[in-house]
Amino acid sequence: MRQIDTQVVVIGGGATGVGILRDLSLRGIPALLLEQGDLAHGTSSRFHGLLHSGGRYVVKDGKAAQECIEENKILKKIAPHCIEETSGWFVYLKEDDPNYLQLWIKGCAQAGIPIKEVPLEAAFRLEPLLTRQATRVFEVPDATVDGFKLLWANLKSAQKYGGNYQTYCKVQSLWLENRQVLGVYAKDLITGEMIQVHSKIVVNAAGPWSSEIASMSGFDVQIQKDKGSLLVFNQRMFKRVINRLRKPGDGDIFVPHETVTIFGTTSHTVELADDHQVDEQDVTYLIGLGQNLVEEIEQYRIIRAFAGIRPLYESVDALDHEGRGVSRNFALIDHEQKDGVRGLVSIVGGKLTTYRMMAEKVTDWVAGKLEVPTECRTAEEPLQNELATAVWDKARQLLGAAAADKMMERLNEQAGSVVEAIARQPLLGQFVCECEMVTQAEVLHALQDPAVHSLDDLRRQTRLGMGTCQGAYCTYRATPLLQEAFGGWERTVKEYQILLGERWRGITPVLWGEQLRESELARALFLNVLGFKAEESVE
Amino acid sequence: MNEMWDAVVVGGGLAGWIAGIRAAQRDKKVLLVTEGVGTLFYFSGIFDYGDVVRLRHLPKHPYTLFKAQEITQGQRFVQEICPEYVMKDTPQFAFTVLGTVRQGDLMPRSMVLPDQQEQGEFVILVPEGLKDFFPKIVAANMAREFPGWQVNEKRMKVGTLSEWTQLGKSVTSIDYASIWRSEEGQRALTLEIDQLKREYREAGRSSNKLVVVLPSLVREYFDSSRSKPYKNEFSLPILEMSSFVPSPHGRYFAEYLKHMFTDLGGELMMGARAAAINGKARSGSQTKVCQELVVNSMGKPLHLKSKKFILATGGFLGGGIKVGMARKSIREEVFDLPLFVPEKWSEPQFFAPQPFAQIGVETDALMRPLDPVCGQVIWDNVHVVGRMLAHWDPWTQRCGGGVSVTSGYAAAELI
Repeated sequence: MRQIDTQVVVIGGGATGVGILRDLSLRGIPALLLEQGDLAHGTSSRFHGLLHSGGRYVVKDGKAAQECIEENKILKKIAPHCIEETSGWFVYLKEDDPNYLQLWIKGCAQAGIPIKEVPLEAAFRLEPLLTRQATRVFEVPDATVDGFKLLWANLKSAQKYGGNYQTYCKVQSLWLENRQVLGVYAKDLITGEMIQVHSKIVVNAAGPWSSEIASMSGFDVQIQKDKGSLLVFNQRMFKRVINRLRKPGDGDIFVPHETVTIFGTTSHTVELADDHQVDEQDVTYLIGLGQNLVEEIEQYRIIRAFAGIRPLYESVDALDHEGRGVSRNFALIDHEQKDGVRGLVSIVGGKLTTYRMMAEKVTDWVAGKLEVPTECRTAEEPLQNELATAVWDKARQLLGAAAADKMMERLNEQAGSVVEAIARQPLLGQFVCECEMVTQAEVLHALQDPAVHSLDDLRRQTRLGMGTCQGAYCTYRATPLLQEAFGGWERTVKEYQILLGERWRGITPVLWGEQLRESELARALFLNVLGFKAEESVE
Repeated sequence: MNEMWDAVVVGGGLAGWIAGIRAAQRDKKVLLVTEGVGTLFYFSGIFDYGDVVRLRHLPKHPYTLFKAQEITQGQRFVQEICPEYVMKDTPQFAFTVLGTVRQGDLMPRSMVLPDQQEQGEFVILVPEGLKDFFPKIVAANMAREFPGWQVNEKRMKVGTLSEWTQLGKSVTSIDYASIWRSEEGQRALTLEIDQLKREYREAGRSSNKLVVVLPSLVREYFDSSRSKPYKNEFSLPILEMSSFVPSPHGRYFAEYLKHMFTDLGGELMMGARAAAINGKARSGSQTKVCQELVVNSMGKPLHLKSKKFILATGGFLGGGIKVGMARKSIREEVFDLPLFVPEKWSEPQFFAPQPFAQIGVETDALMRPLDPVCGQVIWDNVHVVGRMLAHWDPWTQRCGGGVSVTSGYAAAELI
């Protein structure tokens, strides 16, 4: 059994866990983050990518709204490369509740969310697809955020300050002695090796899995697993985030990202933390709701459907226990107070928009326990340094401005070696993924990361396979790089099958229209042109 | 337009072209109306027939509509129009673009792989900067598939492209195919192959067992005899790989079919979309006769009168069938024919046979559309061909070319 000694173990490699790792590292506290899968494989990559202004919560949950607007401002400052300042609109329709409108306007003022009414004529000119049923439109400082990029930026920053992490490492049990946490036992899922990690503090930041982690030692953390389904459209339908101005409900947010639009969501309580399957009923239900904001929605191609699990926290005194009634606030559970065990803390609830604040609260708590007096710096210190203009210029020269800018945003300070490689060997500048403009050189760079164990991991790092071809062409184009990294033809074929299978799960609920054609093309490509063997269907 | 055609073929994919060419060859007055180019752009270069005997035992498979002899006639027809295409009683194999081996039935002579039991040497001639081509993978796969063979790579450059590739720009196989058709390209290949042979001689090695492997379409078996001046023999045997997308085989094959059709007197209307049909029921029968097809061409409706109509608009990939949101509507676009739609729509594994692939029009043995409720023929003079037919999956059954060629040819025989 391998033994590791550190101060703090953070369980969970989502935005919150990685945010905590960065905060601890900035304060000089040695920490190790353990993640059972790849980073961001759970809720942190399964949301709409909306950086809330707080407008959505002002009526129901003033505190959540206030937290959102504060964090919205901070993140725009520290992570501009992960955020597109699209602004957002709240659209009030003829049929909507006028009382709610009044409460909303008042609520925004109370929470400190600046709003500005947009004249209807201008609104229809600026967003031509918007329903003509809209009667009032308000602009708020919503924005869109790339959850992957944000998470990797946090991780790279944490590593720079000494933070460690290990993926595919599943915590098996908490190590407790005399009502004191001494660390965790974990299993390396790649090698099968058991690991004993000794630490003073254990932070449970496992999102939808936090109740499982707590229950390992018989502690009760009440998480409501609330599944939200989302659709990805093939176009950027709006320039801005579009919210419906009514009591928050299903199917009332459109979020534009690069060349696609994400639309959602739904809300159902589920049993499993990885229940990510969307069925066709969810899709037709969402489209029906979407028609209220975009009448012609049925004409647009849907690339895929996906779902994420909101780990909502049910506090004991909450009255409304169903989905949207539960607070979007977060809670820090000190298990010394709750269960009489020292050194264990769970962080539950919250939203991506408030991940940094959650991390700050947890780290304050940890620093208090460890008696480290350093102050939190995550609200001021940018997630990435100013990029070297020389590297950037060279990248633009070699790849063109659009591709270069996207690459610089993804790679940040590590872009230098990739740009050098392309300069030496220009053909490495060929795109593997044309949608996201990912070059061969960048894929090679990503494959050197020891945390990349599969094509699916590579997808999360490089966004390969996330665009409109859903892996059909870019998977093929990654072949030589995969073979080099993973070794052997059989493994490469297996990686293809896993990735395309994973993509297929998101495509089957939306298998009609142009997406059906696209999928048939992919089938023809693999089964015919490339001569892959057909699988037997399992009944 | 008051002309009366013997047949109007709607759709310019493989099945449509075969029907049109065969009809024209039989001196029929035939018009082919097409909106685009169908799905030939990813023709691997190989006509797949699949396991015909087994597929003919599947209930309702399109092959069950034909006599075994009709399937053979279609194959012969392809060989007649493309003399370089060969077929044997035993399976034939070709290289995919990845250097793996795939079975194929009717394929160009220059694509057929040698016996895996024999020994020899492959030299892959790798054109500089060829897009979507991975020489190392190809070489490794070939070596695994042909244990008794040596595999080597040789890089080659073509002068006109060198500036382009130095900038890091790749070259598509379509571009290379057009270079191979030029005098310069042919010269470059000839030189390269002669040099290879010389190197072997100088090293004191025999080049008897040497086979030069080239990415797709170097030879010109799609000879439309209009633009093509060169026909070269090389000093070593050449083996071509099948095409990736966008396919040079598809591009030149479509062009070749077009020329062949018009040379035979067929008339062609491109960029035209079928808009409506007019027909009436025969007295005392529910079966209707289609009298005219209305197409929109350059913004104007044209009324096309014909004795027969061949529906070759493809399935949902080709655009002949439109599947609406949440499958609330599934429509054949020209005649609004009833479609077979499987109850279960998809399988959870991507690579499994997919039920939705079975969607299409059910027909009688003359490929006339049937009413699924009463089993009667709907249109007496409409024949459905190619991917529009129901109850098959071209990819998992590996019979796309076979069904399209057979049905297109058989329909032309009915005109």
